[in-house]
Amino acid sequence: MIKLENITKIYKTGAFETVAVKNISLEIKKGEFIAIMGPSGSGKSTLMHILGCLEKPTSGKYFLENTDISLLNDNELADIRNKKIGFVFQAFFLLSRKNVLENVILPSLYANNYLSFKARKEKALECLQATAFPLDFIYHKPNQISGGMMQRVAIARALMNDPEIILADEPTGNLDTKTGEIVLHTLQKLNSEKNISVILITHEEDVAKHSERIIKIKDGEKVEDMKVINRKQLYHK
Amino acid sequence: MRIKDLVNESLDSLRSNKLRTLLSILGIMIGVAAVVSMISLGEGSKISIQRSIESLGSNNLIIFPGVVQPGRGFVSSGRGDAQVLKKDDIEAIRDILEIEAISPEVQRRFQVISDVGNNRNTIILGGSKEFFVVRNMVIDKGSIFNDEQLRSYAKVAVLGNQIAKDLFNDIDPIDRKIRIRGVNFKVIGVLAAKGSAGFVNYDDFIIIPYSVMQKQLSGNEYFNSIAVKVNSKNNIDYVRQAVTSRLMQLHKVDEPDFSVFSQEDILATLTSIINTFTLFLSFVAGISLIVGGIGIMNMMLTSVVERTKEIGLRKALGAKNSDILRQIILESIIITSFGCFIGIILGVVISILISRFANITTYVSMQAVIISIAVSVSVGLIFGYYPAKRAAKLDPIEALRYE
Repeated sequence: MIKLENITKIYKTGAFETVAVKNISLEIKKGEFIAIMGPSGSGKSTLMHILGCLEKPTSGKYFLENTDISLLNDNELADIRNKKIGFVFQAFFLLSRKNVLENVILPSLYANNYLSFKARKEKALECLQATAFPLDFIYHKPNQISGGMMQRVAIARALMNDPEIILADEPTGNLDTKTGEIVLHTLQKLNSEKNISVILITHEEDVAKHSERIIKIKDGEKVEDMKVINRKQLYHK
Repeated sequence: MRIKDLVNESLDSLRSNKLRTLLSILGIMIGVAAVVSMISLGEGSKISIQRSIESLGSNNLIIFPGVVQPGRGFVSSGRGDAQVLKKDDIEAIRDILEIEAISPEVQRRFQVISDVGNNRNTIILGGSKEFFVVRNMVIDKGSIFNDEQLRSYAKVAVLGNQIAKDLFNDIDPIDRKIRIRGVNFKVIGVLAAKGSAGFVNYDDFIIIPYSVMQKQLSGNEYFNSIAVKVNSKNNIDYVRQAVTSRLMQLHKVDEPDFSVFSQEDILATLTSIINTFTLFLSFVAGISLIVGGIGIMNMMLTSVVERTKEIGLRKALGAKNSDILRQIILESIIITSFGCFIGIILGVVISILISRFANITTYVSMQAVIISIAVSVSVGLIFGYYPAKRAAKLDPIEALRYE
């Protein structure tokens, strides 16, 4: 479903050129759960931004379901992000003035399927249920719930427009081990039940072990692409 | 993005900082209220001037001593100081057939005391009995003075409706005495109320025969003006020429040393003065609207910086640049519309208060309201556009990284 061909990203600041991603080729199948691993500064965030259509590569080709992303304009990229990709961030990025339900609904405001308020609410509740979020808290503001709950809200938000891919950038980074484990299991469950591809960005081996395949990045280059043996999982396909 | 969602999102973010939103609304509100009340003050003055001039009789020509210098307008001429109009001038033009009535006018301000002890400072006007015809004055009680009284320097007075009440309270003033500069006058009539209008209150003056006025009060033989009523509107220009040539002949001058104005001339001049005045006031008020707009821009810029992360998130979730642009501009327009709405109401209230307590006619025209709406919505658009453009141009990655 995702195919990267010789992707390179170069940042220019004045006379300096920084090569963030160097000549990476990669293929991710529909329904796959992969982890992109690497130390900080390895270029994994840049790779995630490219995969998430937040940024275009300097050279190389990126096909998402046979669409060449590098040929799209800003509006078309926004559409792809809205429909195909669900983001989960380390810092959750929930809007503090909106309650849980409104936060989950947010992506549907930018979709052009124009659901009614009732349909949106039903969909949001469905998404929250899929992450096992306790529904008693849907009218609470983000600052009134725990970190683990916030990350589940963020995952529910990512599910709102039925994405093909969930891009999770260090989703456990701000959580303790136990809560982190729950979040990772939630992602595994969504991956196996809804057949959504999950791309997990992390620098922790332990977290990466929850995936089926690990791609290791160092200094912008792909150094390893291996299948996970002894995958940590609660749910089986 | 649906309009309804857009409005909801804009309102939501405005609500998130109520105080700041309220202060921005206040800025626009004050500007709009100022514009609306200033324009209504101007419009009101225009209407009241029109009314009062029309109520002074139609088809009138007024002859003033002195010449209005070209380009210097009607007010700044200082022509009242020149002394050229006398009784001879009236005799010289009296036989023009198209003149229906003619009266000299001698005006001074004096302190007046009534025999019940009330004391007022008011305008004393000396005229002939034709004055009442030319100036369209209707008698309410008693009578006006006649030619015999004029010739015999009779000390009689006709009171304006308001001054009659001021001097005599509720007592019938007819046949009672008033004292002007040490001279006793007998009240023989009271005029019907004309209503106060604009800068002059035509109910607040006393009319006496000009002969007495000149002999006892003004102390010279000159007039402040001569008022002429022409029998038909079509003859006004003819009479103006006839009067001009006869008076020039009488004064033995090549250039007129007097000026002849028609009612329309005076109206046009006053209207143009008021228009300039209104424009100036509205301009000053408009500046406060601009300042309010700058306040909005400042507030929006701050709020965009504060919401950098949020804007990045919205973009990551699929918001297009145009969605962000429209939301921020809409926020700015909502503020100006609210401010404008409350400002118009406030402006109308101020206008009503001005006319009630300062006794100045005001008129809230549709024009003033439309101008305010148009200006403040444009202010919202113009001053909202730059912050919105900045927000829309934010790079989602940079925005998400922003601390």
